[in-house]
Amino acid sequence: MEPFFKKLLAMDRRWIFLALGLAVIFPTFIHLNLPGLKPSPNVTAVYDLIEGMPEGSKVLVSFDFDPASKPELAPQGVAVLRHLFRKKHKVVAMGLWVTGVTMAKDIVTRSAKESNAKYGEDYVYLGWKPGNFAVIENMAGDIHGCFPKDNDGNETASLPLMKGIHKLAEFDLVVSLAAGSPGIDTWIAYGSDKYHFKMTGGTTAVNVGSMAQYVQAGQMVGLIGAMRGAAEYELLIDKRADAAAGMDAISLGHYLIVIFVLLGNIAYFVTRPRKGGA
Amino acid sequence: MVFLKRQLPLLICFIIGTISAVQYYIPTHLSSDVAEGLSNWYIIVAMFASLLGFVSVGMVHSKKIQRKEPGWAYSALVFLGIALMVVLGFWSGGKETYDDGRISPFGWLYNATLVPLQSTMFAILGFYVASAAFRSFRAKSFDAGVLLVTAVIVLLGNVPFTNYIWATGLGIHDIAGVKFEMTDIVGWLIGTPNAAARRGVTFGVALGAIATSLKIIFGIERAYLGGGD
Amino acid sequence: MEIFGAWLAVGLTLFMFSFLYKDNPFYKVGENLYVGITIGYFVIQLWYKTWIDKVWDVLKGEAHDRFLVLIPVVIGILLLTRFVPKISWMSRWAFAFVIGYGSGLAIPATLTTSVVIQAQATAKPLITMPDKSEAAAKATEGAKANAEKVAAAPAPAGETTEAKAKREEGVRVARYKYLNARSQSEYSFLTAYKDFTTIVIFVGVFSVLFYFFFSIEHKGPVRVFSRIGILFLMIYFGASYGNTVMGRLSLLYGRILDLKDYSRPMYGCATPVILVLMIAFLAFLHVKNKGKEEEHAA
Repeated sequence: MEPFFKKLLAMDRRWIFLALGLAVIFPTFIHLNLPGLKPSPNVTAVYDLIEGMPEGSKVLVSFDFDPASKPELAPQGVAVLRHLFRKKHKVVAMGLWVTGVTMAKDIVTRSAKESNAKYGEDYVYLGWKPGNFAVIENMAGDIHGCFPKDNDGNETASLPLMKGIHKLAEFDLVVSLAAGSPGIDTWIAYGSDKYHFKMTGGTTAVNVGSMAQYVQAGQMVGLIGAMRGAAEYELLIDKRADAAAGMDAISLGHYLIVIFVLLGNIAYFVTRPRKGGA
Repeated sequence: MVFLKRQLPLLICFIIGTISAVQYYIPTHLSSDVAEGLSNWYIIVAMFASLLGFVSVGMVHSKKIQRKEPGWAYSALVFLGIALMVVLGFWSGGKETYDDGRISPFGWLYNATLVPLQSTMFAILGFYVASAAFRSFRAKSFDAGVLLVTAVIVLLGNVPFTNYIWATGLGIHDIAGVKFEMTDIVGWLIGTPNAAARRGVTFGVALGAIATSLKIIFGIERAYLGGGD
Repeated sequence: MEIFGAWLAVGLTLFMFSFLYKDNPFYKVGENLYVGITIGYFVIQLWYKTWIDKVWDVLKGEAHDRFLVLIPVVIGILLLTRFVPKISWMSRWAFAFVIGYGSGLAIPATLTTSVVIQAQATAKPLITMPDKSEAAAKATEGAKANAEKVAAAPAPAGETTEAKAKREEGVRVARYKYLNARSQSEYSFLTAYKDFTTIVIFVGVFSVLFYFFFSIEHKGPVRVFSRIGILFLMIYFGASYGNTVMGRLSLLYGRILDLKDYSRPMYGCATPVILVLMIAFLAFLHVKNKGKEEEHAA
């Protein structure tokens, strides 16, 4: 037994890479449709918040992520936008991460087209400005001053939707889909805690633990966490899409890693030197 | 000259820092106008600060090319990338899509290069996480054991199928009204002890950040001035 | 162009993935191209979204205070003097503005968000006193009646397994709502659980703070309390690791999905073709380098 585990521990790590690669690739070809997905309280809280707002509420959606976090946060964005457009809320989209500008525009445009939302009346995409927290501070005072033009070069003041919105506090809700900082914590610190608007959001799996304290303190209402949170939101809006499909691959990968952890520890305990002499 | 090089920057830092800090607590129109003005200036200055970074990167790579250091050809690729993106960006007028919905050359290059490159750079970390799980994650002490058990519970709980086996298979839903499905256990772990630990760390970091900011504003911390006289 | 874009995307993706085998020329090409492409993209966004929108258009406009925008432009240009050794000291004024503004704004924001509000959320009552008001009693009665009604509803004929599971979930949810309402109006097991959670948060926050407090020696009761803090930190790290795995696997899945998409004939089977070519080239390099090593050894 000990020689086997010794050999196992000395194994080239590229075999581990191969095993994980196969575990993730396999469900993309053969759909397992593993059951058990249920909306969690935090995701349900976000859904209930948007569902409960009166029709035509003004919502700011900030896409604070780049292509590196697209698989986790893009499905969240699509699901939230579908819900917002379905409820006929007015959406103003923007971003604080420069390399996510084009990607966010694509997400907003596709979701709007699907829902027959009209640019300038039902939704607007403002784009990006540098400065992180300074952008939030600037928007708090004058959104038109911060974004004199939208992402496509249209005068912000000429857009019907923006005519009624001048300051951050005039939004009924701010949603930040964030992969880190600047993100939810920046919006809370420089935005909602100072200017008192409602705040919710979604984040990557890596940041879920860090955002839990804000949810617990009531500084944000609910939280959509990672691809699983996106899948749960898709379930709530009754439109299964990318995230739900991805959960099979994530599931197999997780089980494989648990096996690796347990196997590695068993191998360690079997092969470690015994204390004391023979 | 010493005043211009040493004292004036400290004075600027003190004045701007104090105004930014104090305006938060003054709810008047003048205060919010000042806040708005300063933030607007900061956004414009941030543009030049980004340029600072780009010029630094450019200088590092151009030195490598000039001196024909090993791997200098790869540095040429950096400039090729910059040139391609900038040329196509100006050609497209900075637009990702045209008014008729067609994708512009700038948008095309973004989707064909930046997205796959940036996405994959972080995707390969998944493999290293798996490798670390097997080769490094050891319960060598009680503390490490607690870490490991928590990690395994979260790993299993994050998978919906585990909750299906637990709830539907084993029929465990609650204990005297307290929800006890796998999802609830993970939710409690993340929402309670994890949040508490994170909050403790946040307090420490926040108080440290406030202390450092005060030291910067009052000129005690001067590292940002750089070296020299 | 779409097919060329697909081949470019697949090629660059596989270039980056090749690092898993070992550091190689493909990966280096991808890495350096990534730096250049990102900088170029950033430059275009800065030019159109900041320079044109917030400086050039403002100066061209008719606002009476439009020339004020030149002040931050001058500050920004001062930043760039860092590259001219003789006048680099002027960049200190610009850095002083940037650092001063950031530090000043951070103080009240951090104090409110990360200290005051977080402290408020920690310092909650550790024991919940039941609400003996009529409104609470009425709410409990209403929730109880609803839970009994839902539980008593007969199963419809020909109910499928999925429908049965959904109905049973509905019964559970109604029961949870009743128990939750009851926990407000009388001290129940659920109330005790909520108080336990509050106590755990309270103990956790303080024990972690104790762990990081190095001004007094950790011995006796202080040591015990800081040990509890370590356990909370271990739970935090464990949960972080578990969530990190999910995050990284999600990103990996995203790339695999794109590669699968681009392996279709409409994209010229980009993925398998490029993969085979890369494997062949890396195998060739491996054989060539092995030959060189054997020559050196000889």
